[in-house]
Amino acid sequence: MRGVRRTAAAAIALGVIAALVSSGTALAQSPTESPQEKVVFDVGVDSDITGLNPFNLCCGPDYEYLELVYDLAIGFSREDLSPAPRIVTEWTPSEDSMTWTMKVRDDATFHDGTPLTAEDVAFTFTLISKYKMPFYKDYFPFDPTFEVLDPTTVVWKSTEPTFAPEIPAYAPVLPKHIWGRFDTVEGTPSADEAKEVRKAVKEFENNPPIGSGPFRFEEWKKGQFLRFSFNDDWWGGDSKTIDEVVIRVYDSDEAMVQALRSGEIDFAEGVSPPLFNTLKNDPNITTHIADGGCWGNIAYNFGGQGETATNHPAIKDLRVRQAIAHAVNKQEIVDRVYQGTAVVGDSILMPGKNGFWYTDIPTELEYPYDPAKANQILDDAGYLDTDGDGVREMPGGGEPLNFEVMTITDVEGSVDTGRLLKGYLQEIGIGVKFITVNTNKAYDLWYTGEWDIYVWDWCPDPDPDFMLSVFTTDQCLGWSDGCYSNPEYDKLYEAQQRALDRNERKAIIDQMQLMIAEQLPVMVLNYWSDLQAYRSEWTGFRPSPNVENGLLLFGYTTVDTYLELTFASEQAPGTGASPGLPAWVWIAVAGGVVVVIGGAIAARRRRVEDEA
Amino acid sequence: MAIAEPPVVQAEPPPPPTRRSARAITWARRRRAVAAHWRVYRRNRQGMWGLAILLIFIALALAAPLLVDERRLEPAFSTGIPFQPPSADAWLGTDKFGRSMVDLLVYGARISLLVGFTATVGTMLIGSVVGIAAGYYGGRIDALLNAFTNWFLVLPWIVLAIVLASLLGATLFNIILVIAITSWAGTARLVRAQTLTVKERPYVERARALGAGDWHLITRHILPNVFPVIFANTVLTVALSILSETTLSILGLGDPNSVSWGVIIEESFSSGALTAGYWWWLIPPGVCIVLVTLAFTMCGYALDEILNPRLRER
Repeated sequence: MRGVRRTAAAAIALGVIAALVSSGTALAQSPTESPQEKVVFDVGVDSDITGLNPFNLCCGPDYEYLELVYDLAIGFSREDLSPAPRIVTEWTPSEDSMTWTMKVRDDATFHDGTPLTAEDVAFTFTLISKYKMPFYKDYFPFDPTFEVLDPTTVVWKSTEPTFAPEIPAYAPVLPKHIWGRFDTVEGTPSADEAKEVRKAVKEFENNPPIGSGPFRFEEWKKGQFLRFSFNDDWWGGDSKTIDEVVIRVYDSDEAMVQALRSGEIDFAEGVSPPLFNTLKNDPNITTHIADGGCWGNIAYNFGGQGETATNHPAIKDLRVRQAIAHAVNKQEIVDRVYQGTAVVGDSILMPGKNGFWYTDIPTELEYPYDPAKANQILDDAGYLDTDGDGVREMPGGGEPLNFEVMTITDVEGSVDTGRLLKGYLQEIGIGVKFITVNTNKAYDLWYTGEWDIYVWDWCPDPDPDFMLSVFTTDQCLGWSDGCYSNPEYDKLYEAQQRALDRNERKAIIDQMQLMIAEQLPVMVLNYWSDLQAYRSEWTGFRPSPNVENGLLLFGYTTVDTYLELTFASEQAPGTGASPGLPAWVWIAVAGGVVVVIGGAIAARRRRVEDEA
Repeated sequence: MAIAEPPVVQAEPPPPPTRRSARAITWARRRRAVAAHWRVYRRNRQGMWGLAILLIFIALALAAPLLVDERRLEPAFSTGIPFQPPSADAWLGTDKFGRSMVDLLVYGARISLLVGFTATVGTMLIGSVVGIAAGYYGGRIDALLNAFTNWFLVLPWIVLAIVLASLLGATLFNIILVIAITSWAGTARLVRAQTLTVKERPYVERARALGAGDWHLITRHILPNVFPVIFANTVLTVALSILSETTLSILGLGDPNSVSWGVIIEESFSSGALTAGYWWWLIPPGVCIVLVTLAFTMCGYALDEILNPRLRER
């Protein structure tokens, strides 16, 4: 997965320019005009997709694109996120849970007209597990093989008893007639062969993407918009109103919110907290605070990433991490950074998304806010400020406790949380030096280990397996934050993978959550909200999971919601006049920006002309 | 054509009969030149206004630690109410952490001026070295350096700056570096042109005939004559550097952990100040930037008139 993320790094600079150059034209250029009768649902997002290749996805609207165009093998119920039939309609284990028989629906076709059969499902699973495709491989543990019995039956043969087939793999069913060419190795590939195939797969442009999902891909104008049209042949039914979905990319949340107010878009995804608060009073707009399914955290670097790792020795001392935990005021971070829209968190699993699996961490393991106690712990552990500069040194003098804290500019709240953290640590005699970078650079630094603490986030799957795997020793240089290693935890992780009884597994997972809370390889700060807003003329939204703070769109299998939306008023959607800020304010602001930038350029040019 | 010698306002008093060293004579001449320039400058109303505004801001920046408790700028220790409009407690309101805008603006002056001056020093160093080298040596070196300079001149600086800033990462030092790298070309052009005229003068030729080396000629004869042009240019460049820092910060490429005026504007923008109507968060730093840039420009044009002989003749 490192390779994938690195390829994106080079693109960032160009991306910024593209965004800048296009920002002026973004509003002017609309998707190709569609005939009048077409109903277009416009969705605003604040970052573009990474690419069209499902093996290169990372964040933002990538997964919405994936689910619009592709079908998952097994989906998620919008009631409670439990596994729900999708392309695979039934899955039954053998007595020993070694063999699972999956029924594939016979009425699905790909967008190019080719029928989707058990062959495609088996091919997708094989491609991922045989070549250990990053992002998806953990859904297929114990080197399984897949056999096609007939066009509607796939058999998953595991080498060990497993419940894995029941966990919906968040992977698209790929057409074998397109992706088949990458499966070049007969039998089990060697490490090098697998690497080569992975590289080839990741480099595939996949334009246009052919899936079997509810929407066909129409076009992608980088940095501007993505357009999808409803797939009439979709097996899952008809769309009530919407003919097209357009995902529009905005350079700033401010612009996105204004577009929502003016009716240019119908739905805004991921609005920032202060802007969200300003939308609440708008009668034309309905706001919705959804459980974002992600938690903000600070993570520690234990070393082990490589020769250039610069981790501080004090980080490995549990007492230092405990002192930091006591020094951090989680509630204040929620109030000041997220303006009260987040919730203070405690466990690596989330009460909403992971529901059944979540364990409430007892207060003593939460290390409640208490700077005096934090100072006491450090004093007792021998970290004293011997030279009187306000920063403690390692026991017996020596290296001062100055930590390099990595904060990430394009992760909501990361930089501001870091700034609060700096103050908290100052109170207990720990110095902070910031490394503030964008996400792409953060991935590089993450793997080389040139940091001590970072402020980032995790978004677990509904099934806890992936989130729990992050803290295993095997994940060092994989998903692991800072190469935390605890053999006891590793054992529990394997035990939960083999536990076939749900309650038995839950008991193990509870233990694991408590262990992480106590050992603090990461400190869970808060559970984020995904702030969504839409034009009130649209109805038919239903939260997923079906609780008050479920996600309306951009959630697990919420693409089905697009098909159920209708608009209530006579007025055609998207044309409603809205108060909002008058247009002249925007023109003035745009003018101001142009003057600042243009002024600088003009002044330079003038100077050069004057004197040349 | 006149050269960049100080204007002679009055006939010089006859030199005292005592023997003085060459160095003392030089220094006395320089002092007189500065005094003469100052007299001309004082008559320039625009220049004096610029200087006054500038001195106020520089004084604020230097006295910032005395005027403002630095601890109050740390988000964790701020006790104010966020998003508060101007009131008796906070004259210009508060930001998202409840920090007083006045405190932020005073500290912002420090960072903004620091970046302005340091980046300018970098710009001037690169520009002067390239310009003098190209002008003095001529030939192939000139062609090469000139091509290089032209390349930087035609490249839209904002694009180059954005690429560099996003590759190097958001620290104050990198921002200074980026500004210096992207804005030296104009200075180099100017210095090269002046060097070309200076090096053709008879006394340079005479010095060369007496056996003066390149180093001596450049430091003793070229540089002193090019310097006034560089100096006038410097003052204008500071304004541009401050503006560049602001532009980069507003585009989100500044150091978000520092408090510069540009960063304050970026923060207000990304926190929805525009939509929410928190004008006190957006306008004051903007006014500060305009004032300082204006002040530098006014000083710069005034100096230009004094030091650039071609302008003075008009």
